[in-house]
Amino acid sequence: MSDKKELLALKDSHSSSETLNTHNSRRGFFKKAALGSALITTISSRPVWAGQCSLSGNLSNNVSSHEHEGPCDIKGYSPGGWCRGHANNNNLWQYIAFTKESDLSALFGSYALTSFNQAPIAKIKDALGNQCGGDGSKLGLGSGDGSGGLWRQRTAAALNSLVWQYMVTDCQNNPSCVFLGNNSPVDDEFYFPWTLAEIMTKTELALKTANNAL
Amino acid sequence: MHCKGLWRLNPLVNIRELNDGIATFNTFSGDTQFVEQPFDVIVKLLQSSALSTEKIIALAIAHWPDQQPLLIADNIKQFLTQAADSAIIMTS
Repeated sequence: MSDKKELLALKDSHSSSETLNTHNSRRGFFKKAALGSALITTISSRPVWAGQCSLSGNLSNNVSSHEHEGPCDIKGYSPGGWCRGHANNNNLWQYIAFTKESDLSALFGSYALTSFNQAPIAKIKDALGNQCGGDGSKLGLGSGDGSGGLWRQRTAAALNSLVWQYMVTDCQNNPSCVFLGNNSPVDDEFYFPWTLAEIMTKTELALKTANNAL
Repeated sequence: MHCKGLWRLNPLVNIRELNDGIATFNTFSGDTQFVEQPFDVIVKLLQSSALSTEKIIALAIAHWPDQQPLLIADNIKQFLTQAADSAIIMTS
């Protein structure tokens, strides 16, 4: 039954089998692909984010004319928090569609291609470290270069960023969203509007400061 | 090489149909990729189902009976690796 459903899904993905046959004969469908030949074309682009120093300040229905003076303090949860602390215990994982067992490369996209050395099998828990039961050596960064700490902080920051984006999206037209209520699973001071592109430019210290703020 | 498990579409990825394939957009990293036919079929399949490599190959062989099974298998394995490295798909 399962096979039939999936075969139908394959068939439906083409406009008609007749078109498929024509396509087959014209293009020689599957080719003897040269090892390493690119089957996917990648174009990188970076989104931009801006807002006030709170969740409510980042919602489009915010009518307050008060302008925050000075830079906002970025405040998120630490790698430990995501493993065993507040973020984990309040199940913030449910809002980001990843788990500790998810591929680390899925979180970082094309940044993973340029940063990891033969480590596509690394999981998020491996970057977050021992507290998550992870194995940092799976990042393939080599020993002693200190870059494991940087990726631990980047990973926590990326998770914080995803939660922030979820909060803004969820509460955009929903004043009764859980994050604006008294039972919010995040701290009142949680504020993490950094994009992934911004996270990748930050030093380990800057990320650690932001991640450990709550 | 990716560890054994079930493949699924990266939840951060949106798909848009194009004439000769699909465009994928990662809403977090901002990456945009173009996936040509016939591999777009696999990406769309993984949008609704979590499947093993073996299952994907078996489905492809059944779907394209006029193609050489070994050639299909090699192409798909190579594509899955590249798609995972590009964060289009991930193991669940």
